[in-house]
Amino acid sequence: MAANFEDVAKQFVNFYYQQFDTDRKQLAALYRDQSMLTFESSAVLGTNAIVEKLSALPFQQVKHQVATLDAQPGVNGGVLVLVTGQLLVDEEQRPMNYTQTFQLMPESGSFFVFNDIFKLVYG
Amino acid sequence: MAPSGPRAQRNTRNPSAPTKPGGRSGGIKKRGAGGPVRTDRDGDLDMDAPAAKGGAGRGNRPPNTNGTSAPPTGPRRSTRSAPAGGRAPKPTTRAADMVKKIVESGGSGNLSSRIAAGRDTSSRHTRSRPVNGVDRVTLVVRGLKESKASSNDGGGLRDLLIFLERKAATVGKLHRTVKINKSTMKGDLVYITANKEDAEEIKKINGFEFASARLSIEELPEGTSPGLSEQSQSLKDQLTTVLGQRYNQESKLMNLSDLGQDPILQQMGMFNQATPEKVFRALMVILEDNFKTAQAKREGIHSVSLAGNNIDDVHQIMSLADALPDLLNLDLSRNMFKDAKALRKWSHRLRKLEALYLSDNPVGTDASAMAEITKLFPRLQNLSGVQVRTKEEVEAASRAPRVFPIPQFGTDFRDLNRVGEGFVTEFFALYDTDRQTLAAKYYDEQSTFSFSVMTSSAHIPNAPPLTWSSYIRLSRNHVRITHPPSRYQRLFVGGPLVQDAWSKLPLTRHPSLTVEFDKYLIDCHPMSGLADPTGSELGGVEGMIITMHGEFEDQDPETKVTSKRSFSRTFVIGPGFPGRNPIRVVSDLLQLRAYSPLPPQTGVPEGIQTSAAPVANAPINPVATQEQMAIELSKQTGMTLDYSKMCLDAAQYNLERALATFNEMRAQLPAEAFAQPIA
Repeated sequence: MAANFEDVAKQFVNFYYQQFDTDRKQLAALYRDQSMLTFESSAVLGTNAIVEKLSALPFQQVKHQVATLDAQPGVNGGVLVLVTGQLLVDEEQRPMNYTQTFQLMPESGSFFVFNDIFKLVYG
Repeated sequence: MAPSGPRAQRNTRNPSAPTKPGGRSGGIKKRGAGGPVRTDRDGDLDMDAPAAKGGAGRGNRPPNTNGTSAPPTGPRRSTRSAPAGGRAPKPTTRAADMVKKIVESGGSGNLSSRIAAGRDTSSRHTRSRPVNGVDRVTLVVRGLKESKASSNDGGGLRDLLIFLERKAATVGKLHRTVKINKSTMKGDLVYITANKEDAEEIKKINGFEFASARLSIEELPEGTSPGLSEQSQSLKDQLTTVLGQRYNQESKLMNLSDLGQDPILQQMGMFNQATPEKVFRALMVILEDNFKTAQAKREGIHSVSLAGNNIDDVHQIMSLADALPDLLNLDLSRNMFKDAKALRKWSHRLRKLEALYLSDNPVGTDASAMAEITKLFPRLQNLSGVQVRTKEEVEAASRAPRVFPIPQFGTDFRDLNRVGEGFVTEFFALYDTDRQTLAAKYYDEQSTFSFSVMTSSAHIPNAPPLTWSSYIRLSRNHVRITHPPSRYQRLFVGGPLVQDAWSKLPLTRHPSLTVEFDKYLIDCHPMSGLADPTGSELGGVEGMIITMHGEFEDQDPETKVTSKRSFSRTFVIGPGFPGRNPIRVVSDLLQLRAYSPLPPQTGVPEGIQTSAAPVANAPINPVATQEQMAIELSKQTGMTLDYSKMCLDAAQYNLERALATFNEMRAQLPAEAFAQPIA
């Protein structure tokens, strides 16, 4: 990945949602055992639990559309990313708006998701 | 679309007339492409197309019936716009003027298109209709005739308008666009109309050089106006007559069926002059003009028939949904709709529609199409005579809270020694009143702040227009801002720069965290591994990541207009440097967007108490607790907040007891005890 934290953020976000929308089980590669996912206030720790949580979400088809993306250099060489966008699931006609905060941490030339906080913010 | 006019009739009546292979030419689209007349059916939206294109299309136009025969090619406007021989100008009316422009779509077609675009809601916008009347200023511009541009297509009017709009924005160093709403060329003069604000900017271009000619721009004294040509007034009168004849006041029906066979429209040669889409839009403009208020319109027209108009997609009659958003009954039978997709553009429109007739369309009674169409209109009960929903079902559905496939949970606040609670409470109080103190207290040399703005938002009916001019200069949305230096400039590092950025943002007012806690969603989690400011803890120190979502009001520094907006904000906070404030902000990311209320919380968090908010365990104050409990009870029972409070009062603010009481008394509660649907 790129060295510049902004490019990191952008590449990561593109990759993350693309992967999420095609096969979210594959997101396992982005998490570690110390990673924490907070999905609508239910928090789970560790890759396995996170993937289980994501897989169990009550929809099959999903499409993310990013509206805003901002990133800041985080602690210890990490990157803090705030995304807002729209989410369209299954047959639902109206998109749902969400925000998601990622705390990315560097690891041997790449990054993993340390914190992932997802929230639906308005309908 | 649609009202097919004499030509189409000829085709159908005379089977021997040459038709395109493939038989019946459905929409106007196909006919336009192969037919003898018009190629510029999209001219109204084709803002930047060279005028020559339109000219070529119009070249085949038969002489119009009003006597002023148009030249075979080239700009019509210049010949038509000869002053009406010293006659006193007739009072201008917006509708007539607009109709003229829509129908003509002549040299300055781009302008009429702009006007049209203002009402063409196929483009998503939250802006309301173009301002009319009150705030408009008419300016007279001299110098176009002397300029080199006058030999351009359309007499150079289009070039002049573009020049004025751009120049006014650059000269005024504006961070918004300047818009000319209307324009007319009369002899050597060009009359333009813009809103007051923009007109002021345009006036600054007075004396500037345009294509080797000096422009003079001055405001027309109030009351005088360039006037309408007799022709456009008569056009308006005739179309008004058409509408009048087709309106049945008693049944509140506007019958626009078989427009192609309308004797007046035929006599006017309307379909030779303009595409059916434009004729329809002109009719809608006049229709709107005939009602003074939205309410009068709503009460005056309940039903519209557009039967027998050859329509194959609702985008051809988009203006119907704009002109009559509250329409109850619509007859689209005997048209060319072939599937549900052809109605999809109305999926967020005509929300009140109760009956829709689609018989005698190619789509037939295809069950899946009918199901999809039913879905498009939430209150639809009668689809081509078949009951698709009962009134009760519609009422029930509109009452029910929107259910999200993802359960939504409220606030999850896992605080450490109430540090997070203290921080957010102080933060927003100070952010609204004393940002300087706030920045000095929590932001040190390494603290970072940035924000991003989502300018596009879901269409909210009747919402006032929202501008982002005070924010957009500093917005750091990476989706839009891709230039590295621009991104760099918009990242504020260190207290002084953060404070400087804040000082450029409008004043704000956030709801009180203690009293109006329900207006926020806050998550707070401990986060380990933060860099230790003292450097002594190699493994890093414990901090917190806080994400907040809520609303606020701000005041535009120039216009003093207050607007309500929504925000999301992520903080990372950690222990401060020794000798300074014990808490420091490590990162602060803010996101702003148009206001929209937080969603109803539909889920029950797993494994934690229902009310995991700080108020449950560490009450901020008793009122907030009671408020929070009332919200919780309302959430669980569907009762209104007031009834929830009454119930809690009786149960001495014991949630369990209140719930038990509710279950006992449920059957006896009046209907008003339950939350009413939001229309």
